[in-house]
Amino acid sequence: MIDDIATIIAAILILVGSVFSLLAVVGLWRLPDIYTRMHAASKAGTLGSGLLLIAIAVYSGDGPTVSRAIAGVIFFLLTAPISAHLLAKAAYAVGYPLAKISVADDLRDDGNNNGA
Amino acid sequence: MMSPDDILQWSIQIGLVLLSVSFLATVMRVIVGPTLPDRIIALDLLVAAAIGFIAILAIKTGFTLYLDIAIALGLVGFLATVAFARFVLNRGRTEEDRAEHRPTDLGKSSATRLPGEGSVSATAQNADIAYPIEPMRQSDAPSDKSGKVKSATRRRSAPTKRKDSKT
Repeated sequence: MIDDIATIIAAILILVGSVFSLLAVVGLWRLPDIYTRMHAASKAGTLGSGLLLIAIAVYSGDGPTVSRAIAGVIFFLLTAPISAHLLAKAAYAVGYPLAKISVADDLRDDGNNNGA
Repeated sequence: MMSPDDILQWSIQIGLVLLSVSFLATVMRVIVGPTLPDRIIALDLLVAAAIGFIAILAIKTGFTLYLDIAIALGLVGFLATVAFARFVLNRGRTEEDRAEHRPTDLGKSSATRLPGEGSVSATAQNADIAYPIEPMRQSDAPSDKSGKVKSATRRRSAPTKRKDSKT
């Protein structure tokens, strides 16, 4: 009985995780510039792969697998914001432009942070 | 009435299809670009999709040893993204800057570069861009003219080594 419930929960986690991975790619294609695409890739992509790893943990249920899956999820949750932040900072420092519909730019140094 | 194992097999199939679609669309984004940071983000997402693939295959085949591969792949993807970010920072110019300045301005003085500098700003305001392209804008002087001169000299000082090694 408890195995059946774990299996169904793992199936739901697999579906939700792959849907989040697909949504990350939709965001990568629909959003206008680098800085907004970074939101879709880092948040939704990390959530998708993290849910799939949790699905392994729920499905197998033995100690070493669960601990490694949780360690992997924590590792991804720690590293994805760092890499996205580094990349956004590097792109902004080099001068890649914001999309024209952006409404705020807090890193502008001339005091006019209300966009163009 | 489906048994839980049947439901799991169905969801594994659907998940593999969705991940394949997202994988292919991400590869297309890597190819299309249009800028280098876009490609780097797409590669980062590609690593995440590969981790998802490994996780689903680990459930499908029962080899939970694949989880170690997923963790190692996540580490490699993180380090690759950090290295690419450093590369973007060291390269120091966007694709439009490269199109404007290559390769006629090699070895010219800053006086002959200044009109080119102005034309970059003019095209930037006309195009689909929110502000003029100037690298390292954080420390530019507030006055217009000196700011331009400073940014021009700074732009020459940083990437000069790379250009000299190229010629």
